[in-house]
Amino acid sequence: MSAADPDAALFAPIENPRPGFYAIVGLLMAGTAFGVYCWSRQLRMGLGETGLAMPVSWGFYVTNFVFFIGISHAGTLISAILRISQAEWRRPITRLAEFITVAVLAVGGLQIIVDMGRPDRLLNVIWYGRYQSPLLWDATSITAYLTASSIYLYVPMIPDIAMLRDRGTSPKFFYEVLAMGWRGTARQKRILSRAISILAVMVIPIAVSVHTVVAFVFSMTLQPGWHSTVFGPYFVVGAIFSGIAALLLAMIAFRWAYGLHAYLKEVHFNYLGILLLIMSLLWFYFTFVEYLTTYYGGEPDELAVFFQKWTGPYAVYFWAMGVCNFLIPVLILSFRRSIPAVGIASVFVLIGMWLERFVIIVPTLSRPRLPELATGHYLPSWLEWGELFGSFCMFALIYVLFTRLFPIVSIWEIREGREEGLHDVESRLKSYLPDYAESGATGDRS
Amino acid sequence: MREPKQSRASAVTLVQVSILGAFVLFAAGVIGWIVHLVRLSITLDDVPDASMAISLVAIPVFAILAGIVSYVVLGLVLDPEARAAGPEGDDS
Repeated sequence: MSAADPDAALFAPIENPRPGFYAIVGLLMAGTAFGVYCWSRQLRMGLGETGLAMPVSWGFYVTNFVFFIGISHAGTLISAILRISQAEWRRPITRLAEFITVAVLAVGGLQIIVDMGRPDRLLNVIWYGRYQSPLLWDATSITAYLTASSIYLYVPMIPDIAMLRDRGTSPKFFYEVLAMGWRGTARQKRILSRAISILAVMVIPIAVSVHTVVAFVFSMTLQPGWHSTVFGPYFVVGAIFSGIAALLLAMIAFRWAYGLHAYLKEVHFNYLGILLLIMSLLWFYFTFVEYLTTYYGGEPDELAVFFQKWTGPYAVYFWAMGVCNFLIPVLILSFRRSIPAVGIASVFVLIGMWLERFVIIVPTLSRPRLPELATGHYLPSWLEWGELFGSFCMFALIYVLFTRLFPIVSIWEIREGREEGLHDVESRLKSYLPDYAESGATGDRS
Repeated sequence: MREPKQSRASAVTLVQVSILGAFVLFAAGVIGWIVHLVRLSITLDDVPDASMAISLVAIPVFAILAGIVSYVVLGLVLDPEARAAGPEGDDS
């Protein structure tokens, strides 16, 4: 490693991992193994080991599924929007964001398998799936999103992989293969730029469709509390909200762990903190509209579910959701957007968004519309808590292992920013101002 | 007898093309699965219009993704200027 390399800090986790890395990997593997044990016990003993019982057939697992799929909007969507809008401050955060999407989609998808008492029956979906079911729309859109996100993660990574190849980093053959013969020729740059642009445009509607379709799983039914036209955009807003919070926490963790202070600066946290604040307000607006409409309508079944949340057995979760998603983030982020401040706000937002998914799913199932179905109450068993813990550990494990193999900050984009970004921004700025010619690039006054 | 570096470069290219082949196969598999479900819905007269509507969106998405990956992999690997630079990992 060259001592003069200004980006040595970005190669260090790959070429010289610290002992702490292996300690963290060990802890996360233990946590993941505990989650796998919980699942294996459920497989042996059946779903009766969980707190799931009729009429509440969806509990923690489906809550986790919606929550994790929501977080996936951190990456691809935020990264794609920032790329398309040519926001220069995106450069150090795009890869962090993009990998959240891929890792969390994989973990989120597994929740559905865990929720199935008989996972082997998943094969029936492949052979006999019916496209009139929103569940199959979900399977299709999540597959498309995971595929598109993986490509969108990999393609911008090629120049960085070529750098690792050229540095002789082990495993050499692995980097040689994945570098795809990258030499940085003009033609290769053109191909890469074109592919990234197409993917960035393509991935936005896919991302929006994914969480809209997740919302359709609920809103296409006639269940009280679910049958709502606002659910699609409400879920998308919530997903972006939780995604930004997850991204901020990942930024804080890796900034601290890998000493990336020079790359992830206060300004990045400030900008994302503003976005988080805006999303908090937007989330509150959607929540207010949703619940006011239900209350004003006064339909008895809807009101029964409404009061389950408002004053009934799920009131604690409901009000905690409001405090975590709105009150605390707005109070903090309106006045302070320092790194600790956005970190605290993000933790509350993630807790609040998980509670939001829970509050949407469980109270409706506990008070079904059909009179022949009894009402019920849901309390998760330790197995479900264990699976939730294991899922978080698995997500963190996948993420940490990724940083052992690939730079967590896009090095070539940082270098491009240093070499060309300043000039580009100046040219663009001049093109916006009335005192300069339309071309702007020359800076000639008209 | 081939130079070891040339053999290594050939092995690298072979794996790269295999990765592309695997991805195209995956995309074709998903498209085949969707077509199978559409055919099943038509055979059973089980809301075939919903199946066709979704397939009209999903099939092009996977086809475009396969196209992009092929464009990137073949475009980068077969770039004449890059190939002229010699076996990979040569000039650090």
